[in-house]
Amino acid sequence: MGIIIAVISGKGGVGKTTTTANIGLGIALNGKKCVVVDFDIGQRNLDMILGLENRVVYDMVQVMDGEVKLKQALIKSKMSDNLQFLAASQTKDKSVLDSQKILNLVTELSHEFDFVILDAPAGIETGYEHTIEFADRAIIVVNPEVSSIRDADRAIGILDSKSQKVKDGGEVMKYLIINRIDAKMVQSGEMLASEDILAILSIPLIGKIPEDKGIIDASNQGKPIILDNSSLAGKAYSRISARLCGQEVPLENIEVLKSGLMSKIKGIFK
Amino acid sequence: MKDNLRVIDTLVRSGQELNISGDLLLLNRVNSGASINIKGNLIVTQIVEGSIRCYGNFMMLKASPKANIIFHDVEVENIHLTNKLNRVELKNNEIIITPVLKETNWG
Repeated sequence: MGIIIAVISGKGGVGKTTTTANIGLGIALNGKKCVVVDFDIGQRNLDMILGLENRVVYDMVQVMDGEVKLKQALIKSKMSDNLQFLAASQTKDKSVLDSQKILNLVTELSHEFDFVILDAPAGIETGYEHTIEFADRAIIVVNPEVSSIRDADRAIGILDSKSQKVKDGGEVMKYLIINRIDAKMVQSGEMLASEDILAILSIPLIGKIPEDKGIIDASNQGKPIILDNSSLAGKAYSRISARLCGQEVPLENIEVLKSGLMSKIKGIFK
Repeated sequence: MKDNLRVIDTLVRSGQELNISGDLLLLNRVNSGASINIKGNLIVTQIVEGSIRCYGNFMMLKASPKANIIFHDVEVENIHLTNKLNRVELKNNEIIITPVLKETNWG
């Protein structure tokens, strides 16, 4: 049985879909079979970030309703044979989701894949509740600012009360990703430091991603940043993916500005 | 204080609302967006960033700049609270705040 991981944030625009795409690909590049599922019904965009925009024929709602077989709807990634993608429906809305159908779908996926990654919609409405309902684990993505932290806090509270695992007396394992960290702003005190965020949310940290302008272009091109070996954000996603696959990778402190001789010299010519 | 006392050691997250008729000993933080309404006495050992409404004989808490703390319908301003525990109580219709100077050992 594969592991079902929901990627959640509460607030929109913090990098949930980007994280899902990069971690999904990262896990696949580690040799594990991985499927990423877009649960943002009516507003799908994971297909674009994965560069599979024009390949979507059938979506997950059609699979859940039994109109098509799962195999027909799964789309193979061009970037790794281990990665497949299941699109959200663009024409329907979140009201079509139904607990039993979701359970059937994620169970079938977890038989075929080592990792099933669900990209949750923003907010804490039924679409979100259905995404976390059958998750074994959750990745919580936050930005270092107060509104993102509070929304994530609320989303964690709902996760801890409404997921099936908790109702059965268990616990959903939670991992925190702090995204879009600007070392300069953390040092000047304008941006919340990781320790403060961890004190508020009190869940284990799995990685920090630095702010990286390359992500926008990567998304527009449909090539996740993890493929770019020179990108700091890409490397951070690689480390997180390796940790999810069970490897011991030490956390790197990206909040400290590098002020070595070389960067000072480079600074002069900027 | 031992009648009807609840002890909670998990943090109170945003959106959670605790309505308590007895006393409460809370050994974790109250996050922004969380709220506690309590008829009895309250002791919070960690920082409060949410809102607290207490109608007991006393409450004890640390300075919490972001919190909204109401004791018997009166707002307790953070400037009156020290970083260690403070005892807030109602005596002769007056709210008295005394810092608890001794180092508290929660054992």
